[in-house]
Amino acid sequence: MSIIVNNLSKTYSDQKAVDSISFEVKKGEILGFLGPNGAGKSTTMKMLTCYIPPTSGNATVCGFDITQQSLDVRQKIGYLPENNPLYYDMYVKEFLEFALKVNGQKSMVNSNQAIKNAIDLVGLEVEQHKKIGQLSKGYKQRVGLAQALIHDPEILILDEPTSGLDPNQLADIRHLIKELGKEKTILFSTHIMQEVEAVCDNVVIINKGKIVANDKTSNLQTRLAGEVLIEVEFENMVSETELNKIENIHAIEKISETNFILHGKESTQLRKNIFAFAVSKNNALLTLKQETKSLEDIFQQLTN
Amino acid sequence: MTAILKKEINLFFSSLIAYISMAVFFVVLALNLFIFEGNILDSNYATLDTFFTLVPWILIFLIPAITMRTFADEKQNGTIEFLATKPITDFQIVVGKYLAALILWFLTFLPTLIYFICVKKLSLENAPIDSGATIGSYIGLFFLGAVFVGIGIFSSAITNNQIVAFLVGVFLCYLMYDAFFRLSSLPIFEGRLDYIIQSIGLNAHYDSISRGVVDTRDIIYFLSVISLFLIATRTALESRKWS
Ligand SMILES: Nc1ncnc2c1ncn2[C@@H]1O[C@H](COP(=O)(O)OP(=O)(O)O)[C@@H](O)[C@H]1O
Ligand SMILES: [Mg+2]
Repeated sequence: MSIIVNNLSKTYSDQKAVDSISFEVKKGEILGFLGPNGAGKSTTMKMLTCYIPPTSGNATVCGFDITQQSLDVRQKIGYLPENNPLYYDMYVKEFLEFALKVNGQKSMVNSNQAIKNAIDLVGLEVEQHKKIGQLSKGYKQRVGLAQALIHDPEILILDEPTSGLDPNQLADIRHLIKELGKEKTILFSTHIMQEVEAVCDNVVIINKGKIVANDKTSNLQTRLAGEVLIEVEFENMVSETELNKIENIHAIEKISETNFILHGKESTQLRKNIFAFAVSKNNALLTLKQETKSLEDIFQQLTN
Repeated sequence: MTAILKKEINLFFSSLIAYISMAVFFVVLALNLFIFEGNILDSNYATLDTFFTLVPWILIFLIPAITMRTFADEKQNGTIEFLATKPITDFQIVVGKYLAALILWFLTFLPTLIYFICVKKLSLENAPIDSGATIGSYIGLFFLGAVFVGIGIFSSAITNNQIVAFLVGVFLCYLMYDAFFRLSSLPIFEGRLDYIIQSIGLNAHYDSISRGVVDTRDIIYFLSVISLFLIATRTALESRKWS
């Protein structure tokens, strides 16, 4: 086991940000740490990287205790904090050299090689001579990743590494994380369900400081597969009993006499059925809008 | 530690403020010494007294300006989390930054030795400059600056706002330099207490070294105050762990 978390808690003044969580990260796996904003993801990562101590409970990283052997733990980890803090006045290479030195690397020969490797790995070749402040958000993120893996750590802890990126950059960074996962143990947090599906072997879902699911990503997918919400608006009023007769509808939320939200399994057939229903009743369908379930809904479903 | 030291110095010299503040320091002092009313060329004595009484007052502003960024900026940008999660102790971070600022202070201070050389050259043979006292004064000045640097980085570690760091720094430097001295001369402290209060302040020790007698007690005093502020700085950094 690379990371073992055991009843870890953190209380800020009177608020429990992390409430007695336990999970493990196996060597070589990519674990997605999924949860909405304020769930306690960052707080957990700050404890694992020894930035703040837990209020109670403990955790080990590569066998080292996070409170007793903090320097050893920090040696083993490459960490990308939330919002990717960087020194904008520094040049890319200057910063990577600095990162390497504060990680305890002394020899010049090795450090040049390490910097070159990191730059190649994250795809920073074109931008390597610029100041960090001049880079685009996507490239800054690469610098953040390069910094985290410069000393070739066993474990990478990445706090929302894709937040705020545009779709292209997002795909690149996800791909990169997946590549890195072939050699390293990775714990990375996100609030995007699809991201976990795209990148992770396993997922831990956290909400309001508590773990609500800990499973293989594939299992979770089948559990949640294809639940959709369809917002419909009819010209004239309809009764719920009649709507209920439409095939494949699991639940109905009534908003007004003519507006409803229908829950069902994702399929084109479902929408066809709704349309056919409207035609058969001679009641014009003014709106038909499909939404996938939000993370909040998923948590609701998981906690029930 | 050396990595942090180097980074801080590079950062300082990559900003224009560095060169400006150093130049202003040098020029203002030169003007006061040689040009403005009461300058030494008009007087018959070869002495740098004006210089040594003026400089502490300038340092009260100059040094907090040099140090205000050290921690406040890192806290503001979140880079402190980058540093604090590396396999180095908080104290190494503090000492690295302190030494960097100390070197900067030394580099600012070094050119003023030219004044000494000038005055020595200009002085008449029958009224030479008192080299012993002057060298003592330079040593005192260096230590005074070294304490201000400690105060400055402490002020920077208790906030994430540079301006606040600067103002708190100025206030604490003033307090340590002059306020104890003033306090001690209040009538209620007459007797033994005034001496004790006076010797908490920097002023008394600076004056004592300036007389040309380098007393180990004064040196120990300076080193203790510096250590105190370094420990306080580390405590301020670690306060993140208390909430
Ligand atoms: N330094 C802090 N002081 C007080 N409360 C905090 C602090 N940091 C986070 N919190 C609170 O703890 C909870 C968890 O926050 P966080 O770990 O940042 O969540 P996430 O990263 O999942 O969005 C939030 O309610 C947040 O407001
Ligand atoms: Mg967060």
